[in-house]
Amino acid sequence: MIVVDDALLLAILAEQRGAAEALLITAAEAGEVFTTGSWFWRLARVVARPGQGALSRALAASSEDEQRRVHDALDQLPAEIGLLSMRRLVPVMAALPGQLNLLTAEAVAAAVVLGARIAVSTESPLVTTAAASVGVSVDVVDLCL
Amino acid sequence: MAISTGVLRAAAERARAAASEAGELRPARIGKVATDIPEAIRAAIREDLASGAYQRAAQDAVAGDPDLAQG
Repeated sequence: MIVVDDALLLAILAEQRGAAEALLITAAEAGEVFTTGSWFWRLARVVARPGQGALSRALAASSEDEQRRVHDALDQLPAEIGLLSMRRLVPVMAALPGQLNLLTAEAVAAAVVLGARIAVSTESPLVTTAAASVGVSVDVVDLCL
Repeated sequence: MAISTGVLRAAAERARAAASEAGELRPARIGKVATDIPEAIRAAIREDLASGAYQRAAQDAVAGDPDLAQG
């Protein structure tokens, strides 16, 4: 099992073509990919607010129908991506050592419950340190063109 | 009060058992993840992920919200 961050979730939802993304997509097809509510929320926040990137420019140049299709695709987490509820995770989050923020505690608790690795798109000392303290591995996945 | 590994292990076992009973240890559906995103948008997403623009946008989107900082 793999618990992925918001950027890797986006790569899976957009069916990106790189080798790393292909591995994640294969894992998702096998039912091996989970994310967290916090990472899903981060992705929703980015999609909801206009920015400076290529996605914002492409959306601005798209028809209303295309914009609706994109928002529908990114707003609804597909059933093929697992997501553990806070009902399960909060007791585990409370038992983790240290003072962790919500995103970190949820990710590490999910990995502990699932016996999973965590995969992130960029170095994340908060997540890496907390995960290491309870024996959870963190992989940094390079999203190259 | 320090949290012992035993406390964490017990909490994880309880959570795992409850999640297993509810069928939550696997996604609700197994198979291809298919979305209806136009190719031009997929290309833009690819560009943003590879250039780091997405990660910067995410940092901006959660600025001032330390609970969502990935650090």
